[in-house]
Parts: sequence; structure tokens; C-alpha cells
Amino acid sequence: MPKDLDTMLVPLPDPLYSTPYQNGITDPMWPAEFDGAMDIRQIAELLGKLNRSGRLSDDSPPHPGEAELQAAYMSDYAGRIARQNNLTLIRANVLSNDRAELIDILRLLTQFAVEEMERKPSIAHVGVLEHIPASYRVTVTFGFGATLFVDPAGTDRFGLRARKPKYLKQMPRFPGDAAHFDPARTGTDLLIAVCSDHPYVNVATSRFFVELFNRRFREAHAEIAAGRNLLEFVSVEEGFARKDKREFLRFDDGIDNVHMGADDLHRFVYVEETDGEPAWCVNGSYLVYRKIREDMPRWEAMKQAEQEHHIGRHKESGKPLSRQVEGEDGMLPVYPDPADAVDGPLNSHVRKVQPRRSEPDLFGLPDLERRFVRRPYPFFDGFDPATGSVINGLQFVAFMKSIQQQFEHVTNMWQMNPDFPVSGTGIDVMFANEILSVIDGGYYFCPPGLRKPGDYIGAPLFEGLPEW
Amino acid sequence: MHHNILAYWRHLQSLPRGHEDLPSPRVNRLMLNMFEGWRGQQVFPSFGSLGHIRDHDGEGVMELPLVERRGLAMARTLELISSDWGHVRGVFKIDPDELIVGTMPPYSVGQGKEVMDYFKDDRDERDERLEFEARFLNQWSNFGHICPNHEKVVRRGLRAIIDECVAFRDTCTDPERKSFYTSVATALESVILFANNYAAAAEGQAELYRRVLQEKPNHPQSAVFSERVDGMSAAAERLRRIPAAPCESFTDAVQCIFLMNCALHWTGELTSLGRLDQILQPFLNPEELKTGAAQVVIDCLWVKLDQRVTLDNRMIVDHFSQADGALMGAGGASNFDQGALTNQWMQQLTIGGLIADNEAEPKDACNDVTRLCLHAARRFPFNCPTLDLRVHKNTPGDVIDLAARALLSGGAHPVLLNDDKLVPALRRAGAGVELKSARNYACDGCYETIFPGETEFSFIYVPGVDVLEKALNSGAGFGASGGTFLRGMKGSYRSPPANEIAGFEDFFAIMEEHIWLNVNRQIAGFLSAYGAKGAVCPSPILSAMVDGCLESGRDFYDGGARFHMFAPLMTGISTVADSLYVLEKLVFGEQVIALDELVACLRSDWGARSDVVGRKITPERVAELRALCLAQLRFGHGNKAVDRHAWRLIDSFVDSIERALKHPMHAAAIAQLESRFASPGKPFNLVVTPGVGTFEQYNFGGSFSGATPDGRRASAPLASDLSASPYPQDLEVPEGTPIPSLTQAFASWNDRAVTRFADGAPSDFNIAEDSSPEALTKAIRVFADGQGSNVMTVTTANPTTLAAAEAAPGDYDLVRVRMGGWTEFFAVLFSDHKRQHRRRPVYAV
Ligand code: HEM
Repeated sequence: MPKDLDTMLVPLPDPLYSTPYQNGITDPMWPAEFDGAMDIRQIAELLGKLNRSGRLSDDSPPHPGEAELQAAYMSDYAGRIARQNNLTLIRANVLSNDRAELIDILRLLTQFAVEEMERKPSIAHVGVLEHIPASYRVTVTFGFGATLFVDPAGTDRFGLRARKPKYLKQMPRFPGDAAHFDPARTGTDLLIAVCSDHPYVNVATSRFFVELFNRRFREAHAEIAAGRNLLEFVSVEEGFARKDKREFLRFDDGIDNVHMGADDLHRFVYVEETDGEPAWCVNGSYLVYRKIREDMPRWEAMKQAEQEHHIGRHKESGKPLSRQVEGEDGMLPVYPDPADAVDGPLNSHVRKVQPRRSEPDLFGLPDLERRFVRRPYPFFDGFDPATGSVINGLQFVAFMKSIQQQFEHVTNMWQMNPDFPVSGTGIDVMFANEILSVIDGGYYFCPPGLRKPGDYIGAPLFEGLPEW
Repeated sequence: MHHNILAYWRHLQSLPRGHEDLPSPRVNRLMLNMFEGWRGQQVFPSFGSLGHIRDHDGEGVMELPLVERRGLAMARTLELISSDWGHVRGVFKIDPDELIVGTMPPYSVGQGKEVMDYFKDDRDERDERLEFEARFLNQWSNFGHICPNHEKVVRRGLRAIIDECVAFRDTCTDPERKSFYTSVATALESVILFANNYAAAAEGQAELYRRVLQEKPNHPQSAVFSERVDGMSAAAERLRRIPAAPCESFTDAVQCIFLMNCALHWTGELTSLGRLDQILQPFLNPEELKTGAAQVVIDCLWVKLDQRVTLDNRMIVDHFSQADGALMGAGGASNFDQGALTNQWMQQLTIGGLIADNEAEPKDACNDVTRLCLHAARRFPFNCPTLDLRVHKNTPGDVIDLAARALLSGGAHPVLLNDDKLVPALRRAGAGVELKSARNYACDGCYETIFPGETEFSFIYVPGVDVLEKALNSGAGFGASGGTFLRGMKGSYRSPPANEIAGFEDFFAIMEEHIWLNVNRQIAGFLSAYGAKGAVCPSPILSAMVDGCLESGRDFYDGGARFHMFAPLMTGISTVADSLYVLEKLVFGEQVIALDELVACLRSDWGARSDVVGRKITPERVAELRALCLAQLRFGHGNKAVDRHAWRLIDSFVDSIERALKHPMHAAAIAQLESRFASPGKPFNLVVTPGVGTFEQYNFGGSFSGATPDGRRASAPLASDLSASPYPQDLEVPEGTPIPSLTQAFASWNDRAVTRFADGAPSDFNIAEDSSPEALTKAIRVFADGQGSNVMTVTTANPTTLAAAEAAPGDYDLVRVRMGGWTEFFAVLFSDHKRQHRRRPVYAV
């Protein structure tokens, strides 16, 4: 009988509440190294439960040897995000042009977030949950939109223009965007990403922000006129994760998500001093949000082989379609000739988003340096009466240290470039065949984490700022 | 040609390694960051944030003469910009990939600038601010718009110039001159400090990457990081040495020019660059050329010069004041056409042409750097710098070919200037102009021709449409007839009414009277205002870089320069020529329209206004007449019947100028200028270079004028410079209008009259994107051999592209068009400009 993840013997990694980074970007994370202190039986348990077939079952494969387990752990878990079950994305605009008020807003938001992250599961929840976990693993991540720095009319509302993260801007339109999606209108000043293991926790936390924030702010600031709101909440989006990382298309999304060793955090995700960003951005990260609708009837009408040619990997095993493979578990494709379709159709998703050439490109970077961390969550938005089909897909959330050099390079130069890798290839077939279309999204910059108790999110942005 | 940044990148990605159009990874990285900056808003120091010199140096500083306060204000500005102050405000930046270091300000002719205040005001016993602003001058009145003598700094270094300045100061007795020299020395010292601050920033970057490499020798980007350590260390070393000392290498010279350019722009002088190929060639070593290193240096300069682009017109800022870059003698506030000038900061760079000597036989000046620049102009989808390529009969074929390929890449440059026509005209333009100065001409900051490093420059306008209207309407314009005025707003002699004008010659003679009055009026204004800026906005850094100033102890704005060039400009010549043709043919020739009937049409703005005096005609008749007038031949299409009206008008205009300058009416003013500004060995000579410049002001210029006989509506745009008129804005361009080829059209400018425009008379052509490079090369050769005007510009853009770009600017962010002497991104232009460009004729090649 399938068991709930919460009842698993293996303790899930907890969020890392005291790092230089915000929570919910690369944490909670499975330890990057297999350090011997790990209980090998627990690991076996974990691996057995979450086998490649994606089934949660008790019929574990034959008992593996220690070395094998270690390798399997390294391949599937080590340095990967131990994603929580539920995601909520709250978007809001700041209804003030006053720097001091903005700081107060951020202070109160931080206070809310810290309270939520520190809250322990309570016995009072037994009514709704059969089992009270040790932690809901709550993370609250804040992102700043470009409009906080310079609004669409060119106004520098808070005197922050000179400190805008250099790659932050409104998301442009890309091929594959639904006709009605205008990213210039969906971007907001703030994004709050709430993750936890239980939907009730997400609901409660979101209500806390959306329904209580303005009232609390007024209560704390007597000078604020009655009825005046400081934040305008624009939307709340939801996503949920399957324990096996598969999403609606029933492919394992995330096989080649970045495994992060200590050095990789700064290699792919967090801004460091050498990135030429304003100093306050160090240890922050860009967030790319794309809400991608999936046309299930169209997808399901395809034979498995055709689906595999769309993705560029085998459905069951997740293995690449290439003749040669790499990595201890053979999950990494090898493309000896980036223009040879023998190793998987050139317009398949994985070939379009990561050509894996080792030669430096026109900017001097090899392709693998353009990876980023994906933290996607499937979503379900009910029914679209216009088409008679359900609205579902993926909340594509990705973190990186440069939108321009990572997400946009991947999207513009490869994925949506019809002439890449060779003239006439076409764009990513998932979008060309309209299995996928983007219906919402935005770019944000997530400031570094809190430095000390009482700190507020984004505080370094305001330090040493001149009058404006 | 690439329509947008993305298409450009994809194109570069598709090129094989080593392809001539593929910049180095370092340049690509710089360019990538630059493009990101283009999409947002450029960081301006906020209004007044540079403060007042008394905030920095205390009240005592107000005791100093104005010129010394100005020198100090410039020095403090450069110190502030390159210190923590500038750093926290985002105006002092360094990118570790840079080879050429420095930051241009975000200032442009359209968006204005910020300078540190140094005026006395109502806190002092003399209120200079009030006094100057009342005369339409202020701290922003520096005009830039000329080429400083960059070669002087490159060859001698600032330290030697400062020493010379100090020696002059110590030996002269006149207190005003002493102050001038003090001011120059102070300002130049601050440029050295400015360079040192950049050196420190570069060293800081080198340190950072060195440390990271020590900590993580296997960093995935270690190759790039160690390049950065080397690059930044070299930059730091260089900036500690130059511009204080003479340059020793090609990179030194490029860095020196760029840094001086930054210093000038930050202190409010938007100057251009001059003959870069002539200055740089002696520093080029063959190895750098062979390895491509020299091209990388030029490419890096290109990226630096174009960093301040704004592509989104919602992100434009307006720091303009009533007297920014004030023109001499304009007698009012100086307003330029801001919606057209967002990205114009005068980065003209002149190449090719003739060697600047006095030898009888002219020698071609094209060299390796000429070609490096042309390559850069083709490879990069930028608007700055604007290349100005001087051509002549002996310009080498490969240079012409490179020019054609650059033009077809869509940047609307190089601008082509014909030396065989311009050099003699410049030689004749004033007493004392040596052949070597004339042969050394360069474009000023637009397309106007000046002698780099030795000229001060200003211009005055004589609007052609204005004199046409005055002749038709008894000394009044049509613009405000009806509504506010009866026959129109008066502004010239009360000449005979339309029904008393007997024939075309009669009419032309009346028009010449109005030209004569207008020319004299403008000259009188110029002469009386000349030199006024010297007391208001002296320019010590520029003065050190313009020959004549240090020698005479006079500021650049106080008559210090060797040459005092002024350009009377007649705008709208094509509109007037088209109109004269209508008058000659339909009114006085075929007599299908009576002159007073035509005047009635014009007073009513072709039927749009009813409250007008004079003959009443039915709307149907107005429509019929306008259609008839619109159907007539136009200037710029190779039809002599129309073109000769332009030539005659030009002769009349230039004759008037020459006559006026000798007229007793101005003798006293000229004598006074001579006595005020001449010094031993340095006579006061005006160099007069007539021209046509609408520049970007074809809309602004048209906006004051009424309807014209060619069918143009009141306030509608004029043609740009000396080009064919655009189709009227209120009508769609009819399909299939026959337009000649470039070389056929050249006939419209093939007259001696056109060569009298020593300031340059651009013929602006639009051509299709699929034009053949070979055919364009041939057409440029024909131009170089002497056909056509003395300046020619080419915009490569299909009308369908421009229409699509108007609808979806983001998808066409690299489409560029020619505006006067610079290139602008179509997407950022205001709508009226977009419409004007879309209506220009597209010539076959
Ligand atoms: C609903 C939308 C999407 C779905 C269902 C999807 C699905 C997948 C799947 C099944 C894989 C293969 C397994 C793996 O390597 O993780 C994959 C890989 C990947 N996807 Fe997506 N994807 C989506 C959108 C995107 C978008 C918008 C991007 C952004 C550019 C992207 C970037 C990547 C990358 C970088 C990889 C790894 C490729 C490699 O390293 O070989 N995906 N995706």
C-alpha cells in the first residue's frame, strides 16, 4: 500500500534557515556528499520508494549493495533540491513612492515570513492531518521586480535606479507565449513564493499576507490613513509536486537539474562579487517565473515514441535518446556532433535547451555553464469553458545568477531560435507543436538572506543610498 | 541588416570562428551588458545633484572671478563623478572586460545634461544667474558641437599642457588672462585625477579576480578571470600614465581620446572626435593589425561610445533648460527637437579624405585605421559613433566597398562627404584659411564641416519656407492666418499683395527682398551676441584643446579659437523649390491657378480653416488645386525643371550673405569684434560656411510655417537638409510612385550653386534593404567622382520595415535612420518623425 511521504523513515532535509541566501531557492537540499554518517538503510528506503518507474510502492527492488546505493543516492539526490510539496506565488505592487514606507513594508513582510518559517506544526492540526510532521518545511522567498527600481513610465520611485540588478527588467515576449499573454502587464513590484509540505500551510500563509498585511501595517503605523493599503495584491498562483518529480506529461522533469556541490551554488545560482552586480546583490539570485500551460489532449494523442522524440528522453527510464551516455548511472546524453539527429531529434526539448558543446561559445562560455536551477511545480486551474479542456501545466520557476547569460541565452539563442543548431531546425518542438504555451510570468531578483535577527529582506539595497 | 538585437546575436552565433563580422568574446560580453542597459533607463545624476561650487569649496570661492569658479566646478564634477559619490549613484562604472575604460555621461542633445552650478545668485551682491538667464544663457549653454584637438593631448600629454599654461600665467600681467590660465590648469589637473580614479577602480577589479583565482584556481571561468586580471592591470597602469603623459601605443591613444571625451562630456561639452584615423595611424604597429588586436581596440571604443543609448521612449528623461547649447544671437530660448535627439551626443568620427598639408597635389589619407573603423561600423548595430567618410576622386576602391557594406548593414553611416567639393569651398570660406586646414576638415558633432582643434562654431537659421510665405503674403506667414491673425503673422517687409505680382520673375525678386532682410537680421543678431558666452560658460578643458585659446589667453567662448566659423543655414530649400516650380508652371505659366487663389488656399491651410481674409473659394476647388499641386515634379528626383529653382534660390541666399557681410550696416559691429578679439599675430577672421541644416529639425522647422504651394499642409514637416520632400503626412504614399536610381537622382545636385555650401548640403537617400552591394559601391564611386551633392547619406530600410517598426518597436529595435549628421534608432523617435521617415522616397540603387 502506498505510504505518505511524511511517514517515510527518511528524514527529509530541512530548509537551511541561517545561510547567506534566502530560503526556498536552493534549500531544502539533499546533502551533496554521501558522508558515511547517513543511514544506508534509510537511503535504500528512499531510493526504493522513489524508483524510476515513479510508483510509490512497497515492492522495493532486490536489496542493493552499499556501493550501488551510494551511487544511486549521488545520482538522484545528492545536491538536489528536496522540493516541498506545495508552492504558492503571490504577486503584489507597492502603493507608495516613499522609500521609508517601502522599508517598513519590507520589514513587516520579513517579520511575517520569519514567523511562518519558525512556526512549528501544532497538535491542533491533528483534526486535518493524520500525522503531524516534525516540520512543514516552510520557506518564504521574496523577489523584487524591475518596476520597483524604475516604473514603466521611467520614474525612479524610491531612488533605487542606480542599484537595479543589471539583468533585471520586465520579461519580454518569447515565441511560444500565448497570444493573450503580455509580460509587460504581469510583472509586479514584488513576488512572494511560499513553499511547504502541506496545502493548508500554504493557504494559511498566503492568507496571512494577502488578507492581513495591510491591516497590520496600518495598526503598526498610526500615521497611515484609515483604509489606505500599502500593498496591492495582484494574484495568487498555486502549484503542487508529485513525490516522484513527474509532472502531467508523465516524464521525469529534473533528471538533469543541477546537482549542487558547494561551488556550484555560486557557479549557477547566487550572485557573487565577480558578477559585476551592485554590491547589495551578492548572494541574491534571479528568479524566472513562467506559467506554462500543457495541452493534454494533444499530448496524450501521441504515441510514446513520439512523446520521447519531443522530450528527447525515454519516458519510463528517463534515459537519454543518444547513442552514448555519460554519468555513473548513464543519465547524461552525449552529442558528439551537435548537428546530428541520430542522438535525438534536434528540435527535441532537451537538445534545444542544452546542446552540451564543450567549445566556448561567442561569449567565451561552454554550454554547461548556462545551466540553472529549476524548481517547477505542476498546477491545475480548473476548466476552460471556451475549449472544454482543463487548464493545467507547469509553474516553471527557475533560479540563476544571470537572466541574460542563463535563461535568456538558453531561450533566445537555442530553444526558440529556429535556426539552432542548424538552419531550419525550428523552435523547441514542445512549443512548435503547441503542447506547451506560456500564459503568465515575470522576472524577479531575490535579495540575499537575512544577516542577523531583526534584519529585513533587501536591507543591503538601502544601505548607503544617497538622497534622491 | 538585422532588425533586432536578438536577430543580431543569432547571426553572430551562426558565424564560424574567425569570421570577419564576429567580434571577440570579450567584445561580445561587453556588448551584451550594453544592450541590457539600452532597454532600460540611463542613470542620470538627478536634477541639481551636482550642487553648487560653494557647497564644495565654501563661500570664499564666490570671491573668485567666474572663469575660475567654472574651472573649479569642472574639477569638482570630475572628482565627484569618479569617487564614491559617482559610484553609489551608478554613474562611475567599470566592467572587468573593458580594454578602454571610462564612463560617458548619459547626456544628450535631446535629454539635456547636469552641470555643477558656479553662478552668483540672489545670495550675492551680483545676481549672475538672473542676469544671464534673462539673456537666454546659463551654465548649460556650452554648445559642444565641435572637434577638440585630441591629437594635442595624445602627443603631448596633459602635464606638458598644464606646464605651458602655468608658464603663460606666470608671465602674463592681465588679471583676466591669469584667471583664464588658472582655470585651465585647475580643470586639467582634475582630468588627471579623474584618470587616476579610474586606474584605482581598474586595479580594484584586477585585485578581485586575482584573489578569486588564488582561492579557486579551477574556477570554471578561470581563463576569463585571468584575462580580466591582465586587462584591468594594464588599464590601471595606462590610466596612471595617460592622459598626463604622451601616449606610447595604439591602445594608449584610443584610451586617451576616450577619457578626454568623457571629461569633456561630463563637464557639459558634448564634443565630437575628429579625424581618428589620422591621429591613430602613427601608433599602430603591424603586429597588432595582423593579429586582430587593433580591431579589438577599435571595437572596444565603439562599445564605450554607444553605451548610453535609450531604446524605449518612455525611458527618456528631460533635464533640458531654456539655454542648453544656446545658439549665438538666437535671441530666445534654445529649444531643439527633443523627440528626435534622444541618442545624439555628437560622437562623430571622421575618416578618409586628404592628407592635411599645403602641397599642390592632394594625397589620399586613407589608412589601416580608416578600414578598421569601417569594419566596426559594419559589424556593430550601433548608432554611435557616426562615421563620416571623406571621399574624393582617388579614394581607394576597397574603402568605397567597405563603406557600401557598412551602409547596407543598416546603420545609416558612414556619411559620405566629397573632398573635391568641400575643400575648395572651405578654403574660400574665410580669410586666413590655409589649404592644410581646409584639407583637415572633420564633422563637428553633426555633419557640418569644421577644422578640428582650431574652430569655434555656431549657426543661424534663415528658413526658406518663411521667405516664400512672406513673398506670397505681403510680409506675413500663413501659419497663424485665420484664428489669431488676418492674413497671417507679420514678420518682414510689407511687399505687394498677390494680385499685384505680375509674373514669376517679379515674384522671385520680391522673395529675394525678404531673403535679404532676413539674412541681415540674422547676421546682425549673431554679430551683436558674439562672444557673450565667454562671460557665462567658459570652457577651460575645451580651451586647452582648441588651438589659439592658450596662445591668446582667451577662452574658447571668448573668441579664443583660431577660426570663428559661423554657418548661415537655409532650411526647406526643397519645399521652396517644389513650390516655385508650381508657381512658375501652374500660376504664371499655364495659368490654371490665380496667385490670389493659391494664396487663399494657403491661408486656409488647404481648406482646413475658414476664418481667413481674401478670396473665397469652394472646398471642391481647394481639393482640386491641392491634388494638382501635389502631382507636380519634385526636387531631388533628377528633374532639372524643378531643381534649377533650388539652385537659383541657393545662389540668391549665398550672394545675400556675402553681400551682407560687406554691407555698411554691419561694419561697426564687425570692427568692434575685431578690436575686441584680435591679438598680435591672430587677426579676427570669420569663416562663413553657408549650409542647409534642418538636421533633425525638419519637423520643428516645419511646425512654424504655413501651408506651401507644393501641397504641404501648415505645420507639416519639411524635407531633411537638401533632400527630396517626404510625401505629406496627412496622406498615404500612393503605390508605384516612380523614383529614379541614386545615380540618376544625383543630377538634382549637379550644379555649382550646391558646392557653395561649405557647411555641407546633405542629400539624404533611403534605399531598400536588398540593394546590391556592388551597385551601391558603384553609386558611391560616382559620388566620389563628383556627381551629386557635396554630402550624401544613405538610410537602408524598407518602408514596410518602418511601418512594422512603428507598430512593434520591440521587434525592430535595431532599425536605424539618418537624422542630420547622426544615426538614431527608429523605435525611439517620436511618432511625427517616424511618419516623416516612412514618407521619404526610396531610391533604386
Ligand atoms: C511545461 C514546461 C516544461 C516541461 C514539461 C519540461 C520538461 C522537461 C523534461 C521532461 C526534461 C528532461 C529531464 C531533465 O533533464 O530534467 C527537461 C529538461 C530540461 N528543461 Fe524542461 N520542461 C519545460 C519547460 C522548460 C523551459 C521553459 C525551460 C527553459 C529554458 C526548460 C529547460 C530545461 C533544461 C535546461 C533541461 C535540462 C536539459 C539537459 O541538461 O539536458 N524547460 N524539461
